Amino acid sequence: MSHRADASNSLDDRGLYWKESCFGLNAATLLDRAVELTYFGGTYGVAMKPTPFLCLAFKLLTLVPDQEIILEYLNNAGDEFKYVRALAAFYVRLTFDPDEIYKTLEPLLLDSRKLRRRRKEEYTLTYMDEFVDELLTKERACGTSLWQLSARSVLEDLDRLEPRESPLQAELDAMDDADQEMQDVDGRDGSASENGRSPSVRSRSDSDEG
Amino acid sequence: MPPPIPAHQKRFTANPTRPARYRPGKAVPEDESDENLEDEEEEEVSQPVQPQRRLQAPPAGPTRPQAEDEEEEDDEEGFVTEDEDDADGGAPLPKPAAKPVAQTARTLQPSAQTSATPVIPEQKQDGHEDEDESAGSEEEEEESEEGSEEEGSTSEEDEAPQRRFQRPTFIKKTERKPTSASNADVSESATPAPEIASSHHNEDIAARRLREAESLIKTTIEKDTAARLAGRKDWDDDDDLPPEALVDDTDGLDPEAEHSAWRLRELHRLKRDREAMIAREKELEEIERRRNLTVEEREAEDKEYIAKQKEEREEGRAKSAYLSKYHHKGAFFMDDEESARLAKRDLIGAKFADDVDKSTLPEYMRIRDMTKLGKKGRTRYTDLKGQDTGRFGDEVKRWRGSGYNDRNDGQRDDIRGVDDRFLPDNDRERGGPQITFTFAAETEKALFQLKVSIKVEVEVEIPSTQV
Repeated sequence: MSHRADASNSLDDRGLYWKESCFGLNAATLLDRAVELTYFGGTYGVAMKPTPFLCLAFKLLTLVPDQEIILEYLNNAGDEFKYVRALAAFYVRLTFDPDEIYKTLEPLLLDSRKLRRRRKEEYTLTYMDEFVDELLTKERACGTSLWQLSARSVLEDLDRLEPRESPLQAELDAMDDADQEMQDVDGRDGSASENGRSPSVRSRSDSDEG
Repeated sequence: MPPPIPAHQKRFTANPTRPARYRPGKAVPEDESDENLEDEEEEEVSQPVQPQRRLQAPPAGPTRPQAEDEEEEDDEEGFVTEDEDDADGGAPLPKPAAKPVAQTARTLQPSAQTSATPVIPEQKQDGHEDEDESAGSEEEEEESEEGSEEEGSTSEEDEAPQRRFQRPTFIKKTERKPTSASNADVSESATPAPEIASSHHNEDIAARRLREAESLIKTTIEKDTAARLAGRKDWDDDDDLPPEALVDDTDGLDPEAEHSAWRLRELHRLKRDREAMIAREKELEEIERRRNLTVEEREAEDKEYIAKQKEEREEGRAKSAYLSKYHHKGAFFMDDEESARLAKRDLIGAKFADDVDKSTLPEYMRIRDMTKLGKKGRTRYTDLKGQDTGRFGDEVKRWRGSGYNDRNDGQRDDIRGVDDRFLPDNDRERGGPQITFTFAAETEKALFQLKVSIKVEVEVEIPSTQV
């Protein structure tokens, strides 16, 4: 975990936001602050200043609130304030167990609200589901390196998780079927099997197994 | 000789001179200006004082130390640096002074002995005073410590306050009071009300200033907070970073578009996951399969794979001409179109228009870089074959049916760079030398066989003898 500026010993690096607003916060007052967030990000600028988002996340890490509080942030407060949800998601990724991370963050993949991300030199537009996807798959987010999360497949093999059911799964399957049928028609596959079965059937069963 | 400088002006600096130290037995240095100034005034004022002073002459030395202790405290009380009091005929309490820089035994007097021996001190004093009136500034002040009216002995010193060290002057206790008393009188004479009023006034002023300062601070703080609330950045934020408003994050602008965008993203994610899964499974299959092969099969597959890689790498690479230069396109700084065009270029096979086939040149000139022609220290160790003096592998080459010959389309060695004399002599068809000598071929056991074949065409004219 490396918040370079936050972890630095010199408090000056953390900037004005930290010194002014992050002093003496508890979970409730932190929520007040989080509600005022208008962008998320890691560090920005040449001097690697931390964003308020990162400051609040760091503050959460020092406060160590209960799981229920975080779930509150994530779900109820997050319904209304998307940056609160983003903050809670970040915290979840940093502190929860792998099973819980997947269970908690995967529902957020259905949330498609826009988020403003502050990068080193500019602001960019992204979406909540993209942010959560980054948290689940990438190694760094918001200027912090995330601890290595075991892949979902590993957990599925260990039977700790069930395979993910996306609402679009059905559509995807339908699309796949359509592709397969097209392949049959063109004969692109080329391999004719002895028993006359079309190759599409075989490959489809493969994909179903997978 | 330059004009004589007055004694006291021997220093040219503006700093005030320090009073000289007292050394017993040594004449106290005169200060003429002091003399002049002080004498005039002192003489006037101190005339009446002197007789009194003489009465209370300084005592002998030994009593001095004891007296000093007691006196010092008193001394400090009475010392003033300004002209405060007037001549006062108070009871002459002996108040000797130890303070002045020049301490003289004669000036000190114990409190006990008031008028012990007027005679002796008088004499002393006379003597001293006779010696130098100028010491008067010091002496007189010291003597005045005895308690007599102070007078304006300090006034002389006050005349040049910036320059001179203001020696604290002792005022007798009784004489002090009048000063404070006089002040008190003055104040009392004036009504106490204005005093109180003035003090109140002062208080008001001070209080008002405080309040003003506080209000100023408050206004500045309020301004700061207002500015911050209005959305301006903190002072430590860079100004040239773009504002947030460039990127709009309001939702619900176009729900359908947003929803379809979300679906697209979700499908991409699903696809990615699925492909990752398929790749994983394929890998597992492959591992299984290889495990089931035998060792040789595995090696064969590996070889094929490596060969395929090599071929892919080499296929774009043209065979370079003999001793041609290899031009690298450079690893950096390529523009887009240019680089795309240049990347397709065939560099290794590149030839200049008037490039010479270097195999026709004599050996000396067969250099890759023609600029080095003629320079000293050129070694031509291009390959080991040239250095090889043995006939390693000769036998192998000659065997019929060996793959060695047939590999390079029949060509055994690279004959391009070889001098004429060393070309193989069997290849008449390829333009080898046309002269071959063949010795008696029966001696097959000869170690050294030199085959030389000569094809000679001779025209012989035989003259006919008869008709």
